[in-house]
Amino acid sequence: MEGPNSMEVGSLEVKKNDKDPWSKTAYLGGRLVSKIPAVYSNDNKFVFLTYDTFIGIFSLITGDCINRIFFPNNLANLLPVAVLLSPENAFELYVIFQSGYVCVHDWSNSELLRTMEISTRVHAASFSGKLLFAVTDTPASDSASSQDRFTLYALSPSTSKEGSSILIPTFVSKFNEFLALDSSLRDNNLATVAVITTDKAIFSLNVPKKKRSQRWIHREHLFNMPQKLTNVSLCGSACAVSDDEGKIHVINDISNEKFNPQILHWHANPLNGLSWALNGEYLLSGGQEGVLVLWQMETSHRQFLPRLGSSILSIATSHDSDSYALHLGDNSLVVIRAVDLAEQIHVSGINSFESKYLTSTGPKNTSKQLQGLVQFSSVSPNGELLLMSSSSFNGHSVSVQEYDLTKDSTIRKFEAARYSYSSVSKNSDDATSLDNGHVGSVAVTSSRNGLYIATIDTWCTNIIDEQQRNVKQTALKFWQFDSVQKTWVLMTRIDNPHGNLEVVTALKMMTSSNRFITVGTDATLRIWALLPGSSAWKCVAIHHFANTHSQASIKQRYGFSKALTCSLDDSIIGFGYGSCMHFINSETLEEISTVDLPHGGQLENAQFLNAEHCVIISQRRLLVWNVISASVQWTLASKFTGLLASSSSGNDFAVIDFNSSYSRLIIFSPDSPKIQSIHIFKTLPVALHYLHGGFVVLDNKSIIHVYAGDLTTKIPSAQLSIDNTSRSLLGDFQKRNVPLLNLENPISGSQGLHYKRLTTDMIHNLFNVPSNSPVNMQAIYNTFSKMAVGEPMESLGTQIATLNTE
Amino acid sequence: MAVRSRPQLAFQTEKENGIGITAFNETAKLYANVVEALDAQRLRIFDSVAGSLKTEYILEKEKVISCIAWEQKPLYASEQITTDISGSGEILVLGTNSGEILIYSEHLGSLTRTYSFGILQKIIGAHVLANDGFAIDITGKVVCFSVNTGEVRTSFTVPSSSREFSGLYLSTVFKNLALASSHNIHIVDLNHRNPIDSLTTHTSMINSVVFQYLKDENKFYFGVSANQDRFINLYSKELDGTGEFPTNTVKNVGALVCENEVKMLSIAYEIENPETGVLAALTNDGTIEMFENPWLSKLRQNGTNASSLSHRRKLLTSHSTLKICFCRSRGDPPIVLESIAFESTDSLTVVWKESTRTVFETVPWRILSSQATNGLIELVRSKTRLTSKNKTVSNVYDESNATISSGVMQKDLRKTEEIGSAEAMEGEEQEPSLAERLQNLTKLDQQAQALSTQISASTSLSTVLTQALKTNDQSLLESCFNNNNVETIDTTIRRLDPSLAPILLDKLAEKLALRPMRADVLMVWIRCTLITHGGHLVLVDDLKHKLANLHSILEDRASKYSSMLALQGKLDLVLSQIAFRKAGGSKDNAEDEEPISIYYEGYEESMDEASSTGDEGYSSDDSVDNEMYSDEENSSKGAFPDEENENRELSEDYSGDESLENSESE
Repeated sequence: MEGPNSMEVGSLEVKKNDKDPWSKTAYLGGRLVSKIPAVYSNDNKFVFLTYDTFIGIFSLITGDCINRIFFPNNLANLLPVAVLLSPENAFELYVIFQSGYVCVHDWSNSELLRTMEISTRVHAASFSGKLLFAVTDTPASDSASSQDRFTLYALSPSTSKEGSSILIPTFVSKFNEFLALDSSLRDNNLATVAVITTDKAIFSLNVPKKKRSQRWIHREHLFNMPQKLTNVSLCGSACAVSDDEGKIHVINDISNEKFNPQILHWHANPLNGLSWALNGEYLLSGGQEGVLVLWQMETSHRQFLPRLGSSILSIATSHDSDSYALHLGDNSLVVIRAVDLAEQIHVSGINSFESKYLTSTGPKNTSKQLQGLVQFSSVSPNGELLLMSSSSFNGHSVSVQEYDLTKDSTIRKFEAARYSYSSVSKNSDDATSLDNGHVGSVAVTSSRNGLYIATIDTWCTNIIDEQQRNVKQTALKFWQFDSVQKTWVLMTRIDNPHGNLEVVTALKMMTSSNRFITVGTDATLRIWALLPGSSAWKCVAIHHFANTHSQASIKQRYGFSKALTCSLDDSIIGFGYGSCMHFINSETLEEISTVDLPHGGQLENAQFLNAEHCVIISQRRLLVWNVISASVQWTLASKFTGLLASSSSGNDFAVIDFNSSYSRLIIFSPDSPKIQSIHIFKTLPVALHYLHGGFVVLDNKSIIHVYAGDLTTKIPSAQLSIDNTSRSLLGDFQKRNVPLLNLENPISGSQGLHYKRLTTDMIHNLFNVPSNSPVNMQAIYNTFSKMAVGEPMESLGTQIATLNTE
Repeated sequence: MAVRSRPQLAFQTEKENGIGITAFNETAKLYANVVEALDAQRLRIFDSVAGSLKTEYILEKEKVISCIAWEQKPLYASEQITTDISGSGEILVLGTNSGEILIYSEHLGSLTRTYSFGILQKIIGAHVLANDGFAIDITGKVVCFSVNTGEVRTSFTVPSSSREFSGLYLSTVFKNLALASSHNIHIVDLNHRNPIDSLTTHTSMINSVVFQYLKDENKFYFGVSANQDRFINLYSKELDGTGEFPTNTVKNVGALVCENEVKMLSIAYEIENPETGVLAALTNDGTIEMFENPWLSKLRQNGTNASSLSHRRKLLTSHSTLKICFCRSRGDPPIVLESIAFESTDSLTVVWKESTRTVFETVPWRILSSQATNGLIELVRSKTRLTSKNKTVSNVYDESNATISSGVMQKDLRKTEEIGSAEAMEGEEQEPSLAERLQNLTKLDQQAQALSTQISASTSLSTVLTQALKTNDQSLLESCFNNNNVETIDTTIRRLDPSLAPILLDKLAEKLALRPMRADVLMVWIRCTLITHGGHLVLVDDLKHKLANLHSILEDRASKYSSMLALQGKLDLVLSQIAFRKAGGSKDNAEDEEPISIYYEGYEESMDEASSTGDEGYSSDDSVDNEMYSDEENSSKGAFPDEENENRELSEDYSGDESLENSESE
């Protein structure tokens, strides 16, 4: 054991280099915002999905992301509340943020056209005809009715004297609770808006008046029941309201004086998705069961689409009712064709992880939260795919997902354990309430040649042992890749690989042979290999490193660590136990050396960098150990998460540390504690890997951050920022009905922006030319000039591109 | 057009059928091919990782694709393609027979641009490197254009003695350096529009060129293969590093020899370590031959000065280090592969067709190389029929084929008291859990469903028919066709293997041609076959040729249909008119004119007198009408079938029209 005198103690000082070799290059993945349903483009060819930090535009033909609109990054915590297509210009996309910012983008080239601002917080917004309805906080100055916390405004577009477009707010109603908003146009082209609170629905109907254009009639319907309402959907003058008991209340004509809700009840769990289709002839509903129900309103006939694989969070219907876009609970969007209810496209992002490991308690408890996961993700040996365990249904983590970073999509997903879909309970967040247990976690790692992977799944039963802990059953599984079927086939399942009631704490592959190593709480390290000539895996070596039977106290059990590593030539295996890192010979299983990390706390991770260096991380200390000279290269104290990755050359490695407010990715070289690069995360990183020549960090928002490497395609070329010069004031609600203009900046550019695009599609429509023929504006102009002097019409549209050859 | 030699002709027809127009993208993860589907060509894009069809695009009818290529990423700085063309994904460039360039966006799933430059004939090579597009036509005319705008940057003709070109290959390292191929290779500087070097390489058309730039040597190596040639010639071109490309620095560095004619080449090398190049050649019989370090000449290796020319030549040619082939069972002839591409230096992606399904497999050849016997790896891939039926690969947990053991049973290394508990575990294992039972139930359910969709063998002749078709047994076939029960025919066809459908149609056509009177039964067979196996038939390559016989026979029979239809129409007209007149004419007539005949009881004679005294024309008309009226009455309902019989006879001697016209004029 080495004393601290030989250590080179470094401090965390950021030295700004001129050029950071590990700069951020790509930004992938992302989590869909559950409240905002997908938006279809007017031609039903594209669908807009709202993520935490950007809007993805996906083609409905191929299912690929064709463009991304990133939210402005100079404003903190932008939470989108509504994404709407402008009713006037099919290329304008309104993004409304909770803070009151409204960004208008041209989605065809993701250009920011203009920004506006509503001076209070916005909770929901919806277009109905040309009117934009927005539910905002009631301004504080309105003390008269202070219990009505929310106000609904109708914003009508208008053009100011300077020519800039503004929206004039009109007060509609006030209410003290707010859950959901929807609006529609009635037969006579008048707007209707519905707002629901926990127990009532408030309808506001626009009625024409002689002089001023707007007058509002308010109707209320109180639902006398204990259930909470969840969602509302309007279509014409029909309205559907769902509650958390799974009932749908349909009011056929809200302009009628008397409401007589018709109740449709099939769902047993809370309903989230509700949408009308085919002008109110069909109603679509979906909830926690993951079953889409199509109600035919005339006949009350039901049609079901089960086996969606996850709960339904929201439903959107295309403009021609040809397809339905369902946002599912596993962070994916599936578009279903209305004709045969078959899947059209499936935009499958990174599945959300098990919620109970990653609850919102912040980075403070990170290490503890992640302790349940042995090895949650891994990289395929050719360094291209990310393998990770993912939750499948209501927090059950049973499947393994393969994610391709170059395509930014899930390639494969398969179930790694048997799982009963019937066990959907109402409060499934609480694992202990499940009757028949659940699969706790899946650890995954792949062998060197990529032909095999090993997974560990833990089945938490609700049988309680003498130490008041749930009995866990662990299964180690080995899978082989079927290259023709393109699936993983289970080869061997080993139940309780480390004995009954014992837990596997670490799983790793050996670096240069097709063997796997596990460490368990029975204080053994086991090496697993494929028996020659058969398809069965077997334990080929066991190393006992502590006597657990004599001192099987809980404290000792905490000494077991996730840290497990193997040298590049497979000769040395390193594993952590207590505060010590043990190195053993992989052949003879004899101990070579032991490294103690003083005052470091629990060992978290370890990894061999190159032939001689090994990085060891404990909760409070990082140490680079030279295996050959058995000496400490350097050490560093900070609060570390267990995340560690090294580059393929071994010349750099990355760790993640955290403090109370943020986490940092720090990249070092093994020679000295000089920081190569540092990046700060506001989110909680959950995985760190080296892929595609760069460090890849996955955070709890399902976003993948890539630093350096060859993945450069998806980063926004220049992050947008809200520029004050282009900001117009949407409306000041303190003095409502008096629109304020930002007079100091008469917006010059925004005037012509409304119809600025003459797209090729429009030209093709105008000239009745096949859509794939080239458009040559010059030629069209020439044709027009010729037409003026009597050129025949036939030559139109058959112009050949001119050659600029001399 | 130039006079084509025979091998060229074979080459061209192969391409015209849409076979052989295939392309892997640079990462070998996407694969595009063009298939002929009855009237229009279809572009299909596959995901080679998932092994599934991603998108299919139906091209316009008159567009015949002659070449296809994915976008390549140049290593030099260049202008990017705008997202409305690429959809931020990869693009595919297609050349047509009529000289058009089509740009297809993989992400958008549609053609985003169509450029026609007017000066190009059939395009045989087109490439896109970022915003720079290149196309060459069969006469050697090269056009460089901007992908974003379609603006032509340069266009020139490669001066050459050969009158037909086969392709254009671009360097991703050097801007403006390209190889144009015919029988010869022309190294072209696109900037100066002049060929730098012309090399005589092969006697037949060149079909594939691969190249690699070695920075250390500042040499540009390339390998060339040609149709009906077993040799791959290797050349090196020295560069002087000035940015200009010097002339006459090309050297033949050797040749690689395969056991069969080479179909295509693929190369892979690591950027950091370019010496570790590996070249794969796919031969016509489906074998892949691997050549490691292809550029490493043996002359250099040995460092000896070869004395004789023959010895020198021997040293220059090298054989493959490893051969890979796929076969149905060991020792069988290899499966013919469609295309190959390197995913990395260690793994190779191959494509072949399993009837109409396209199968991808990634071969980790370096790992497998240890299993090679005599330098050959035979990979047995039996025909998996199950997979072709249910396309969706299930990802449901299935442990039916797994070995199951328990960790505490790994006993040989450790003996403790846990044996008892292990046995208890075993006891648990024996009784299936509820979930297992449920899964078994659903499995049984699925099996039951699968069974119910299958048609019982007793009501169908499919076994007999399959045997008859496979053995070409005429009498057995006849016994099948004699069956005229529609239900039986339907079930028979449904149970028939789709791959036999074209043969069945051919046989039916034969029978139909021999005995036209059997059409009513045989047509049911044809109809059922087309309905049941239409989906499969559409995907069969070269279907037009296979079903030409049937088409001509049906066409022949249908040729009389239009005249028959005309006849039927005319007869219908006449008969209706008769019926109409019988009913008393049109309303107008009834109003204007008097009733045709009025019957007064007891006035018969006086009426007769009146008619005789009235004008004659009227009376004669009247009598005709009466005659027809009576005719109708006599024949009553039996008249219609008689009429039809008459018509058939009439139509056969083609006198129907005249007689009809006569009757009409009356």
